[in-house]
Order: sequence, then C-alpha cells, then structure tokens
Amino acid sequence: MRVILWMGLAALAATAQVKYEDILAGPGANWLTYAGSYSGQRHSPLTQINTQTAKNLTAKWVYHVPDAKKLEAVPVVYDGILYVTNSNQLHALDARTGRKIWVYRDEQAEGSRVNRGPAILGDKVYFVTTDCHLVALHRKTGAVLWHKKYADTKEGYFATMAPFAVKDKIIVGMGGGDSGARGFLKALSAETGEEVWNFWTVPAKGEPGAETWSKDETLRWGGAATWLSGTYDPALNLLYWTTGNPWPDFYGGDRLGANLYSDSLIALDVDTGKLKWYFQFTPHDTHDWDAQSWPVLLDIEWAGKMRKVVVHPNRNGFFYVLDRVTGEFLRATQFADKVDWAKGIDAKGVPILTPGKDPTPGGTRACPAVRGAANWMSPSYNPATGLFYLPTLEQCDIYSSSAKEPKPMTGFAGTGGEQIPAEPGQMFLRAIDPKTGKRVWQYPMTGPATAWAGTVSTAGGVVLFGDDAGHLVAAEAKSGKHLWHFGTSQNITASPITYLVDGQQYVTICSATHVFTFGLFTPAE
Amino acid sequence: MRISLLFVLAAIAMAQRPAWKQEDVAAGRQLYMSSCSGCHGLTGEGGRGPNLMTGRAVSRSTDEVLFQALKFGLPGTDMPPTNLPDEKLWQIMAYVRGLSAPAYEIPVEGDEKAGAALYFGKGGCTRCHAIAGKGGVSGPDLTSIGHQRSLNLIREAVLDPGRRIAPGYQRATLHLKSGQTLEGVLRDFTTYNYTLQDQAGELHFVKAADVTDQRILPGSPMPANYRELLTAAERRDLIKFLSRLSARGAQ
Repeated sequence: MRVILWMGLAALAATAQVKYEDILAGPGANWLTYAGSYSGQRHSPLTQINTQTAKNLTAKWVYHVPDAKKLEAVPVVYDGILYVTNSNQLHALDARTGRKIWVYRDEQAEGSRVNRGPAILGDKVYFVTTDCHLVALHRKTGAVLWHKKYADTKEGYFATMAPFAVKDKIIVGMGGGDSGARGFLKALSAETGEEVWNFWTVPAKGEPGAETWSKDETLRWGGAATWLSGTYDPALNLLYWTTGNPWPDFYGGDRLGANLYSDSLIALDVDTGKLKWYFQFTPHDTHDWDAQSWPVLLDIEWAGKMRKVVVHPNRNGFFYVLDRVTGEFLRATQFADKVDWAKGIDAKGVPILTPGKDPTPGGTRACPAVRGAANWMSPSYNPATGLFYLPTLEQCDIYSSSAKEPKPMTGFAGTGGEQIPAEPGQMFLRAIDPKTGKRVWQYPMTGPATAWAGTVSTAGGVVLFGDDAGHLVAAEAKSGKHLWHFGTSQNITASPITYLVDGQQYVTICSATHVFTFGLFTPAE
Repeated sequence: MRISLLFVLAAIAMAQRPAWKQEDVAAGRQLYMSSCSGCHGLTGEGGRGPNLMTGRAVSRSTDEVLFQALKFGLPGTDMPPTNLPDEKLWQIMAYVRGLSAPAYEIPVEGDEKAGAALYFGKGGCTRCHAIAGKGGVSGPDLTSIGHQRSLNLIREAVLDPGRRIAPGYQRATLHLKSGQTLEGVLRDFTTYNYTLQDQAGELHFVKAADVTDQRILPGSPMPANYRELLTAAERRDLIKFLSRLSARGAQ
C-alpha cells in the first residue's frame, strides 16, 4: 500500500514545476505572477497580436464563474492551464477551451469579498481567503495541501490580495486599514505556510516612525494596509510594496504627524523583511489616498546615464520617480489635470499644500476624488515606446470629516468623500514618458467613471485595456489609436493578461461575472 | 394580539433550541421513521414530500422556519401540523438537519482514531484519495470532505459507491490516432474535447478528433464490497473519521 502511495507521489513530483527562475524570466507563453513580471511592467514579448492583426481579435471562449458579482482577479497561466479566483474559490481552466478542470471552494471561510488572483510556485497554486488563510492547492489536481491562517478577523483583518511568490516565500498582506486594523506584510514559507518574517507598516511604540503619530494608542490601529501585490528586484534583493491610508481616513486630529508608514513605498529585504528605505507620498493623509498603485521598476536614462528607478502614479495625482537603490526622490509631475490639494511637490518630495483642502464637518471640495487620480488598476510599460500606460480618473469630491472618537472595527472612517452630482468624473488611458513625466497621448473614455480596469502592453505594439463602458480595447501603443474593441456589457474591475498556448496568443480579462478570452481569428480546420 | 402571542411562544421555543447531542439525533431518527419517512423517504430521499438529503427545502431554511413547519404544518401542502411536544420536534430537527448538513457539523458515532487506521490501512483508501497532499489522484480529494458532504452522502459513497459518481472522476480509456493509449479519470469531456488525468496526476488535453476509440467505464472504480471487507463497527469508525476531515481543522 505504502509503496503504491509513494510511487504516486513520486510521479506527481516529477512533473513540471514552476520555478522561481520561471517567474524571474517574465511573461512569455505563461503569465506567472499578478503583474506578469517582478518588475511590474505588465509587458509581454508576444507579437502575434500586433498593430496589423489586432483588428482580427475574436472571442475564443467565455467562462462563467458561479456566484461571481465583481471579479477583480488577474489570472495566472502556466502550461496551458489558467487559474482564476473568486471569493474563497479557485478555478483551474483549460486555457484553450475555457473548460473547467477543477474548482476548490473553501466552505468554511467567513463572508464574501473580492479577490485579486492566485499565485503559483512549484507544484502549488495559492490564494487567500476572505478571512486571511493562505491556501495551497496542488496545481494539477486541485487537492488541498494546506490552509494557513495568518491573521485574525477578530482584529479587523481581511484579505483580498493576490499572494506574491518570490524565491521560496509567499508574501501576503491584509485589508482592514479603513476600519482600524494595524497594517503588516508577511512572508510565509511556500512549502509549509509557516511565517518567515513580519513587517508592521505601523511601527510599535518606541520604534522609529512611532514619533510620527501624536497618540500612542493610534499605533495599534493605524491602518497602512497592504491589500495590493508588490514588485521585486532580484539584483538588489528588495521587495517594493505600497501601503494604504492612515486611520481614521478622513479625520487626522487624533493622529497628528506624518503617520508612517502610511501612504508610502517601502523597500524590504526579501529574506529578512528588514526595512531598507521608505518614501511617503502623502504625509498625514486625510483624503484616503492609499498609495495603492504598485511600484513599477524601470531601468531608464536619467541625466545622461542609466539609472535603476521605481515609478509610482499616486492616488494624490502625482507621478513619482525614485531611485530604487536608495529611495532618493528624483521627481514628481502632475499626471491628472484636476489636482488642487497641493500646488506641487518640492525638491525633497514633500507636497506643497494648498490651505483649506482638509475635510471639514460641512464638506470641502478637493481634487482628486477619494478614488484617486490613479488607483490599483494595473498600469503597464512598453520598453520599445518608452511609455507608461496609466488609467486615470479626473474627478473632484466633497470631503467631510467627523471628530468622533475613533473606535476600531465599527466601520468608522471619520466620514468620507462624495461625488459632486454636477461634476461627473471622466476616465482616460494616458501614456506618460517616465523620463520627462510628460503626457504623450491620451485615450478619453465615455462612461460613468466607475471602471477599475487595467492594462497590458505587448511587443506587438499594442496596449490592451478595459474602458469605462465595459469594453476591452486594443490601441496602438505609440499613438493611442483605436484598433479593436469588444463589449462585455459589464463594469470591468480587473486587468487583462496575455499568453500563448499551442501557438495561439490569447488575451484574457474578467468582467464582473465572466472570464473572457480572445485570440486572432483562425479559419476552421 | 394572537399573532404576536404566537411569535412570543415561537421565540421562547427558539430560545430553548438545545445543543444537538448524539441522543437527540438517535431519538429524532426514531421519530422521523415513524412520523416523516412515509412522505420524505427512509433516508430522506423524498417521495410525496421534498428530498431532505440533497434538496434545498431544509438546507436553505432557518431553524425557526423549520420548527414552524414541523409544528404547524405547511398550509396548502400535505405537510400536516403535529401535537408532538416541542422537545420531540427539536429531536426531529436534529436528525433532519443532519440529513443535509455538512457531516463535520453534526455529531457522528464511532471511533475517529480507529477509522484513521482503517483509512490508511485495511481500507486501502490512499490508493485513490488524498488528504493534505498524501495519497492518489484518481478519486476526489478528501482533505475537507467533512465540510463538502453530508453524513448520508459520505456513508453512501463508502457503501454504495456506484450510486453517484463525483463529477470529473469517471474512469476512461482513450485510444488516440497517434497510437497512444491514455487511462485515467475524465476531469471534463465534451463532444469536442477531453481532459483526462492519469494516475500520476498528469493532465492530457485531447481533441475529440484525435480519439479513435473511447471507453468510459460505467459506475465507480471504488470497490463496492466495503460491507464485506469491513465489520459494522469498522464501517462506523471509517465514516466517523471521514466526517471529521477538515482542511482548516487539519492545520
């Protein structure tokens, strides 16, 4: 009996494994991590879909995700199998046909929330449950290998993010920062789920940064959540992660100070979780401007020589360029037109504030809107055009505040931002040159300004993105010229990916309830 | 007034809902057999009344709704009211809930440890089924089966495996144009495509046009002789062990 069992296991172990080196190599036939590559560029070398052929894109299959209401997942694809998540479930599909291979549902998870996708490493595929369990499944059979609880819902935590597989670790973060949970980022063993390190994004009393919070008790509930995936530089061995707003979101009177490390980019040693450097975009934020657009790593010419930089379009309306070795601030340029909370960013990276833009009990008009000029919708970068493709929202809101005593885990955010009915927002896809910070072209969208759709760039000279009217659109990367579109009739809240199976290049995007997949038209055999 | 009094009484009854014990389930079973099985079937499979095992009538109703239905009947249907005391109605509910509730959530008789020994030993279950990554791949993963199946369905799967085949686990042999023969379970098949998983766990995506002959085996590959292979006590222990399998409990 035992012999048979071990033979079975040995046979499974001998099959193809997703290696760390495969993820390092970046996208190609496969799409192995949330942003496609560790650099976060979401740029695919595939060229079958190009500026000439994109007009021949056609639907290949559609998969309905039962129970789905608002899919936010970016699938991963390996060896012709596509893995996609919904709340507390993971579906494995044949990427050629969209037919289900297996589904795992965690019947015990608490409640229902969005989920931003799976991770893959070795023979395992991973996802997080609403209530902060990291689940490891066998990627071919869907068999449960383990569940590991890494945070407690009783302390206000929940999880929505795509786990991040790097080396022999799975990096996991948390949500709950908007109701008074203390932020953290953890590395768990990819093999067993055991915790390897933990970094608190709000320091403990006495630690560096704690002095940026006026009251000690606020350190216990400071927010600075980590609900999006990050990026990684293998040469520097650094993990780059952005953090959410401080709490209470809209009332800062109980947390005077800069409130580190909220609204920041943190660079951590991936092996130890030790902080190498940090940069805070919005000190003492009172507009809920999480720094949740992931940090994109670029090697670009800067003042005459090549420089390793990290770029970050922030919810606050500015596009930042930092040196990613040291964290040195290089430049910030305004990428949205509707920005009035600050007159600019000074030479040290500090916002030059406009007086009177803080939320008040009666309401204060300020721009950008609470949703931010940018947000977690995936941007992309095409090294051939040198352009950064950024979904942008032009909108202002009325921000109101309440000085009520903050009580964590009661849904209290110190009140909020409301859209101004007479001033509807508008979304754009903007192409920005990171070398200059200048806008090169823009693609205006029609719609209710409610999309949360991202982009993917390809070596075929095409950028694919979801628009604000529920279309997947292909545009020419260098000019923004429209090439093709397809209507899903739903608000898109996810980002497209591209991959290759059996010689066919596919593009996949989730709509609210379905997984849509496209490829070039091929005549019947 | 009368209505609100009724609600108060119902609320009192609700407040007295006991924690279900093994004795309640057993007593409830006796009562069910004498009062309910005529319409709902001996195993809850339904008949004149709805299926209580896999149907939604029970699993989607709150305790309060079920209690009211038991006590007062369902006007306009054949479900009659009863004079049985509330305590006995709760016992019936304990049993009826267990017909469709995940096995893990209800009390189950047997010796879990002895069941584990049977599972990993004499039962031969690991050949086809895995728990926490250990075991074969040609049967459904059992890591969390206590949450995924009711006790009745677990018992049925052990004692009468051919009655219901888990989707994606039909055994098949495919002969291909290339001369290759594939054997395993069909995770999916349509008029156009097959997804076959072999015993090593390898997935084969095959176009129907490339298949020259297909043999899909009827029934379950699982041995149908556990009644003979195991004593009544052993079967009870094995089912108890399976009913406690929980992905989260196992961590």
